[in-house]
Amino acid sequence: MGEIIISGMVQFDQAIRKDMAKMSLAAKEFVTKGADIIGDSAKEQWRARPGGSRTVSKSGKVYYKGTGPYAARRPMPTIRTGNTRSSIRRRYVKEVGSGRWESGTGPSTDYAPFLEFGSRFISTPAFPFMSMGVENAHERIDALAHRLFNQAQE
Amino acid sequence: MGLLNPVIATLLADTKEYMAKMNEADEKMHKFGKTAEESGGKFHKFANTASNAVIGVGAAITGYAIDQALKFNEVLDNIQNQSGASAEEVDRLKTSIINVSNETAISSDKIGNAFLQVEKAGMRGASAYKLVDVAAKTAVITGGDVVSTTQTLIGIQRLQIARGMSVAQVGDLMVNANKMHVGSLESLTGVLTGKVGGALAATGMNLAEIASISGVASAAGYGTAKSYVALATGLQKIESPTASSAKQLKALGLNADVLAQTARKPGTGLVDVLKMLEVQSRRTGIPMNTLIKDTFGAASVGMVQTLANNINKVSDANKKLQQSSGADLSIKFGLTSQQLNFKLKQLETQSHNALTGFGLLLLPDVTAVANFAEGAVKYFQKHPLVQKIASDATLTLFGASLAFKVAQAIGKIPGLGTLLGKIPGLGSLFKSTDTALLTEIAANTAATATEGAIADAELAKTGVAGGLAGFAKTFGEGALNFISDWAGPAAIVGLGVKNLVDMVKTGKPMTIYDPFSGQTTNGQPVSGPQLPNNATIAALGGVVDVQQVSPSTGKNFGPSLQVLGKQLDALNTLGYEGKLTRAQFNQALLNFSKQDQQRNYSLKVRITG
Repeated sequence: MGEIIISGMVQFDQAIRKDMAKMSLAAKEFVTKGADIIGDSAKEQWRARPGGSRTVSKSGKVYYKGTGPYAARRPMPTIRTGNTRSSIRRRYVKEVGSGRWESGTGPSTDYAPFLEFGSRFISTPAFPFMSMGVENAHERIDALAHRLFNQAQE
Repeated sequence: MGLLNPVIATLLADTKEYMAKMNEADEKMHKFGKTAEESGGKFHKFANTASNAVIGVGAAITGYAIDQALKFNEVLDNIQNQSGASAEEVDRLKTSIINVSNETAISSDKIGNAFLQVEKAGMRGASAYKLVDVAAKTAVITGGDVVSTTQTLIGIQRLQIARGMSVAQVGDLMVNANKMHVGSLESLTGVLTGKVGGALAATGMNLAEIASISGVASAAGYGTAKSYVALATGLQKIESPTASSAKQLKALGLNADVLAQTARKPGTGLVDVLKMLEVQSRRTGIPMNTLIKDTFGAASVGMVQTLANNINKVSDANKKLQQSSGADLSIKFGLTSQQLNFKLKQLETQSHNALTGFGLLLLPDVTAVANFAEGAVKYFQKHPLVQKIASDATLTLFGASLAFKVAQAIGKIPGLGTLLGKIPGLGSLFKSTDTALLTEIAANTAATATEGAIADAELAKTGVAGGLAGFAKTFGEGALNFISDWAGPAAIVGLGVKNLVDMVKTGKPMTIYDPFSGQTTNGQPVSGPQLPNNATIAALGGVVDVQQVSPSTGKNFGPSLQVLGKQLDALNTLGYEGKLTRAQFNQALLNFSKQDQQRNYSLKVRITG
C-alpha cells in the first residue's frame, strides 16, 4: 500500500505568516517613503520665479507680474508666492486592509486643483505638477519597491 | 473651492496583489486607473506606477539582466562593426570591459564605449586595455566621463606632447592638472587636445607645460580657445622670427635668435621667455606690456601678461606636473576607491555586471529560455492549484514576460533573428495577452519568480542532459538528511517514486492514496494525518498527478499517484521521463530537503510500500 505522511505544517504556516508580516511592514515603508519621493518630485517640477517679476507698491502690497517676459511657460508651473509648492507634502499613511497600505501626497492651497487640472481661466492641460511629479518619480519609486520588498523577502 | 477634488497623489502597496495572478493585477490596474479618472485626478501614469511598484515587488533581476546584456552586446557589436576588431578580439574584450568596470565602478557600457574609441584609434590588446584602465581611473578620481577622458588620452598620444611618458603618468598628470584647473574637466581636456592642444603642441610645448599654463590662465578667467590660440600664435612668432620682427626686438634690446632658441626649449620654453622679458623690463625700464606686445603680438597680451604676473605659479605647477607618475595615479585611485560612495557605487556596478554576465548566458540560449517560458505557462495552465500561490503566479508572469522580452530582443541580436521561427508556439503565447502589460511586467519581474524560474530553467536544461549535477545545482549543493531522520534513503530506494511511476505507467495493480479524499484508490480508507486545507496545499505547490499516458491518444488514464510540492513535481517529471536514475532521484530528494530547511519550514514526504 502506498502512503504519504506529511509533517511540518505548523512551522510552514508560521513561516508564511512571518513573511506576510514582513511584507506588510515593507509595504508601509514603501508607501511612506514613496509619498515623500512623489512630494519631492512634484516640487522639482516648478519653474523658478522670473527675476524682476515681483514688485512692491508704495503701500507695501506685493504683486507678481505674470505677463510678457514673466508669463507662465507650460507645462511647468511658475513659482509666484511659492505657497503651493511649499505646501506639497505627505498627507497621510494608512492601512486600508490586511497587507494593504496607502499614502497620499499633495498641496494644501485651495487653488492648487486649478493649477493641476485647469479652470475656466486656465485651459487644459494646465500645469499638472503632481502628475509630472508622479511620472518623474517612477524610477525612484520602482527602485524603492525593489529594494524594500527584496529586503523583506530575504 | 470645497467642490474641487483635492490634488492628492495616492500610492498603494498591496502585498496581496503581489500574491495574485497576472490577470488580477491587470484588472486591478485598470480599475485603479478608472477610479482615479472618476475622482477628477489625472493620474493614469501614477496608477501605472503604483501598480508597477506592486507588481514589481522583488527585483527586476532577469529583465534587467537581459536589458544589460543587450546593451552590452550592442556595445560589443559597435566595437566589431566600427573599429574592424576581429571576433576574437571582441570576445577578449568582454572580460576586459567587465574587469575594468568592476574595478572602477563605471558601467560596463561606458567602459565598452571607451574601448570603442580606443579600438577605432587602431589600438589593440594590452595597450588598449592599459589606456582604458588609466582613463577609467582618471575619470573616477576627477569625476569626469570615461569616454571623453579616453579620447583626451588618445589625443595626447596623437599630438605627441607626452613623449617619454607612460599612459599612467599622463593619467596622473591629468589628475594633477585638474586640481589646478579652474573650470570643468571638459574645458581642461579641450585645452590639452583638439584645436587648442594642437596649436600649442605645434610650438613644441609638452603636456605638463600646457597644463600648467591652463591652470594659471583658467584661474584668471581665460577659458576660450581663442586666447590659447593667440598664445600659440605669439609663441610661433617668437620661435620663427622674421627680419622685421628681429629688428623690432633689437630695438627693445632683445636678441631674436636667443629668444627663439629659448622658446623652443621643450617643457620650459614659455616660462624662460617670460623670465627673459621680465629681466629685460627691469634692466631697461620698458614696460612688460610693451615687451609682450612686441614679442607675442597684440592679440595675446592679456593672457601672456597674466602668465608673466604669475610666473612662479606657472613654473611651480610645471615642475609638479613634470613629476607625475603612474604609481601616484594608483595611490590616488586607491584612496578614492576606499571612499564609501565609491564602494557603494562599485557594489552596484559589480552587481550590474554580474547580472550582465547572467543575461549574456541567457541570450544565446533563446530557444531554451523561450521553450521554458512557454512550458512554464502551459504547466501552470494545467495545474490550477499551483496558480494560487504567489511565487508561481509571478513565475507565470516571468515566463510570459521573459518570452515576450526574448521575442522583442531577437531582432536586435545579430544572427539570432532566424531563431524566431524555430521557437515552437512562441507567437501563440501572446494571443490572449496584453502585450503592453507584458512590456511593463518584463521590466518588473519579481525576484522570487526569477529565483524559481532560474531554478526551473536550469532544471529544464540540465534535466535534458540527464544529470544529477544539474539537479543539485538547481536545488542546492550539499546534503541534508531529512530522510535519515526517520527511515533513511533506504525507504525511497526501497520503493522509490520512480518505481511507483513505473508501476503506474505499466498499470501494475497497486494501491494509491488520494490526499483529497483521504482514501486509497481502491476505496479503502487509510490511517494517517489528513492533508492540510487547500490554501496550504496550494502554498506548497499543489498536488501533482502522475498517471499513465496512452501512447495512442496521448491522454492520461489509469490510477494516479499524487505527490505534494512543486519541486517534487519537477522531480517526478524527470523521473517519469526517465531522465534521472533512481540514485539521482534519491540524491535530488536529499538536496531538495536541504532547501526545505533553508526556507525555515519543513516539508517531509514519506513514501512507503
